[in-house]
Amino acid sequence: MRKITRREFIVRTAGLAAACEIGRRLGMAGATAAETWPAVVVGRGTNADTAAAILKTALDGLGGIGRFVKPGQTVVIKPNATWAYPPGTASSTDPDLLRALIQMVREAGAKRIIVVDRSTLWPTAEALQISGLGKVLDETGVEKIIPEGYLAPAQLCTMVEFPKARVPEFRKIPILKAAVEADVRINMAVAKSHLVTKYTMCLKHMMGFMQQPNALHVQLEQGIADINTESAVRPHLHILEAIRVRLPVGAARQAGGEENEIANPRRVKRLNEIVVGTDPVLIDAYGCINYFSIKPQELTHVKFAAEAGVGEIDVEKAIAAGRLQTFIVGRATPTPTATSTPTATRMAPATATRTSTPGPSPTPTRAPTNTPLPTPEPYNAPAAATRSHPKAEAEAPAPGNLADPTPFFGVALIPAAAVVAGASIVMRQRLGHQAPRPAEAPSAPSESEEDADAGETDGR
Amino acid sequence: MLAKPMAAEQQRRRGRLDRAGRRSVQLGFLLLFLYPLILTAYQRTTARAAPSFTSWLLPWDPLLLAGHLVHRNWGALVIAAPLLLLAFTLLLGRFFCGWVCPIGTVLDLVRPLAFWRRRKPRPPRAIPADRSGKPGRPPGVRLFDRRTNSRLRYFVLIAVLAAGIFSLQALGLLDPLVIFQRTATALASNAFALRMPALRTFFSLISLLFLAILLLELWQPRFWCRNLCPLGALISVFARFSLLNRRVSDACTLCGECQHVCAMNAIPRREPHDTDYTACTFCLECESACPNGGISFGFGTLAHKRWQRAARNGQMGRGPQRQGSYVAKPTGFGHQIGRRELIGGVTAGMAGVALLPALRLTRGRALLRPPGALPEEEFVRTCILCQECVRVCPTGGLKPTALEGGPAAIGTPHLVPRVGACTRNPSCPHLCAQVCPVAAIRPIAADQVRIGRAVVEHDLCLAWDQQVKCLVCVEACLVEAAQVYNGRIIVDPTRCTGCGRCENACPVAGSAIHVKPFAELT
Repeated sequence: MRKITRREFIVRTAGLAAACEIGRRLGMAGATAAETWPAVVVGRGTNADTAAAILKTALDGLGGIGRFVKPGQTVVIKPNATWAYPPGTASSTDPDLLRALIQMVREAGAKRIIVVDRSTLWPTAEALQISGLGKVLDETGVEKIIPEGYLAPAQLCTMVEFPKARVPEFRKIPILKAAVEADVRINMAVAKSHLVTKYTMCLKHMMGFMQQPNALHVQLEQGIADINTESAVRPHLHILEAIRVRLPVGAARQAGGEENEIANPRRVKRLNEIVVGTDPVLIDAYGCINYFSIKPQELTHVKFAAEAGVGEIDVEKAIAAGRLQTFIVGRATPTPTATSTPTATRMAPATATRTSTPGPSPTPTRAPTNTPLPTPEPYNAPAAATRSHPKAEAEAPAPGNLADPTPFFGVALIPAAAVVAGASIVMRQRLGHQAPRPAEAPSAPSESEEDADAGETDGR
Repeated sequence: MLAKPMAAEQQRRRGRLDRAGRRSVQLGFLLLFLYPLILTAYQRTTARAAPSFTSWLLPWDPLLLAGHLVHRNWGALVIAAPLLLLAFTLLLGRFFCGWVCPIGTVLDLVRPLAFWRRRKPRPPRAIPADRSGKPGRPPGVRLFDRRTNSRLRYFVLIAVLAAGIFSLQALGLLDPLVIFQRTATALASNAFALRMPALRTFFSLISLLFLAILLLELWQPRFWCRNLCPLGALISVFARFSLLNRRVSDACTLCGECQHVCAMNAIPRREPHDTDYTACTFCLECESACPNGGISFGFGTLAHKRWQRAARNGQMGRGPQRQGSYVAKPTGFGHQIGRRELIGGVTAGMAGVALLPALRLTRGRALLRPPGALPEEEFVRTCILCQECVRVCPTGGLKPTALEGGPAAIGTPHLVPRVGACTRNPSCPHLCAQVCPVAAIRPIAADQVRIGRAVVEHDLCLAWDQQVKCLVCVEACLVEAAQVYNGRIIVDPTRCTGCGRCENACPVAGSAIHVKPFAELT
């Protein structure tokens, strides 16, 4: 990937400054133009903030989407569309977040937007349908390349070299062609537990660009580090979604499941954060500390990636140098980033220096993570579930009712109309010629018979 | 009733419109019957969700209903569609064969390819007067040609029904609607690459019959429908009493043009006034082909009886009459099922059934059957090879068996987890059971699924062989049957449903974990 120098950036964004971000940016326009953008920005909100608002806050801290996407470019977005579980379970990317990103990229002037993923565990149609992402893709009208199964068709792929990879087998592997050929690649991962690596964030999410993701499992941790090294598929922007975070409970470390924050608050926690940046290692390191309360070095693939020179693993140093900043929704200036020390309080993300936010509505400070939601209702009450997750309840279809058949019957009316039209052509000729004759009577019901027959068949 | 002779141009135009209308009806029905298949292809190629409909063709099949009845499966009578079809047959004769049946449509579409059969229409001939000054018969019509449609289809029908008592598969093998369903699915699967590469083998085996039907068409028009089709035979039993009739007026000059254009050979050579209603599909071709405009169609209470009765009054066997048609003597048309067909058919069916154990002598390996499938022997006997379950399987994991299961299992579905795992738990609503027209796959609850059991190959598995922390199978398993034990993979046999997600996911070439059918495990 080609790095953009500060000078180039200033020149290029001069004309775009008005388009991306008006209200908040105006106040700090003079300041931002003169300083270095941070490598990683944390956007933080509350339960009242939409995913779009948090994403916008975070991206604005990083210089806006216009810093990455220029008009006329082809943009590849790689969400997590692997799991067929409803929204709100922290299994796949939040549909609202994907919609917000697609809209931002489109407003930045992208010519083509292609959503790319590998749906390995489920049929693509089913995963898209249940996770709610398919609706977003259809409504926004973006292209999608989501091959299913563990081996994508070869014509969709191209060989990509990873010269710095340590495992020899991974120095040249097939990658989805659309991602390689795009101008901009955006990698949007979900912070989740994972069976093998224990946690998965931006680094591991890169596996979804591969033709055969399970091939990496042969040496998974080193392989993850390897595919993040310098290559033609390296993303320009990483987005880590921590609106909801899936936590491991004992041996249950599946990266997807039916649980949501209501039914199983120990597994799915609502944190309302989105981390964006250009350094996936720093993002993952921040995530290790703040979401999973482990040292980044404990997560082997993050450590390997840092050793391979993919990015910076020392979060404290990055914060001190201003390379990692935190923005809160509704506030123009960065908030001091706090990281909890892993040994001090397990499972306690940074809440110590949390300041109240002067947002549009007075939002409560985040509750301690032991009680993850400020909802007073009992967790398993169906009423609470419906209220807090109207989307999850409404959009998750019952199994067996994957698609509404009603619009599809409409298409079947075309051949049915052909049947009726053909029958009426034949019958009209007979009626027309026999109309003046008294023998018309026995002929008349014949048309209705033909039509009734056609109607019967069409109704089935 | 009798249409006046029309101007030639007007009649030609009417014929063209008729043909266009009939083609429209046929193609409309063809598309309707293909529609569930089109939806599946749409879903596979665009990855958009689409509903999975059951076949819109097979529920109309009276032959399948008869198959159910010989199995004393009286519940099948609830599906009224085949009975409705037979009721329409009493009204409209074999209209199903000429206007609806997809095989008939395909045959009508390929017939123009038989260029060597194309002939220019004959010019109308003048009828030479005979000695007594009355118009006689033209020399072109062979008066004593007794070649009629063969009764073979009745043999086939009886044989198929007799064999169906023991094995529905024999019935499904020759049922034209099932043949169409099977071949269309196979073709579409190849065309749309529904991840079923082995279908090419299958296509060469099972769809040979369809190919044969097509080739016979190039030899003789509608050869299958006239001589072999068991469904056509079943329909023609009822079509004898059709209310819709073909009438020939006294304008007939015995030129033989109607016999020439009749694809079904429904007009006797020796007596063009007569009609074989067990063959006539009311395609209306003869009406526009008649150079004298002497043919019309109309309803009447058993009108053919009336026309015959009128004929007996007058000059029997001496040229065309002033009014109506006549029957000189019984033409031998409109075969019924006689003793000969019954005995011969039953014998043939029994002979076919007797061959079944011979088929089982060379048995292949045991196969993974769809969830809820009947026990193996019964499943092979019941499955009619319609490929509906293969079509709707959301992962494409169900595939038709080629030769690996032995001759008796050719075309039956089996699960290939390496292609696609069974998602019966929890996402698939058991589509294969929902679409099965003969209930060879019965709906069961998701936690009852037992397709087979996964077995780890210790010398291939990365965790066993190289102590690599791979665990893809554990990640893929939905019922926590694949577990990590001391860094190795073990399978809990009490939990494993045999869905094959682990086998599908394994990164080892050829997979290090295999789902085995229970017959192989014990």
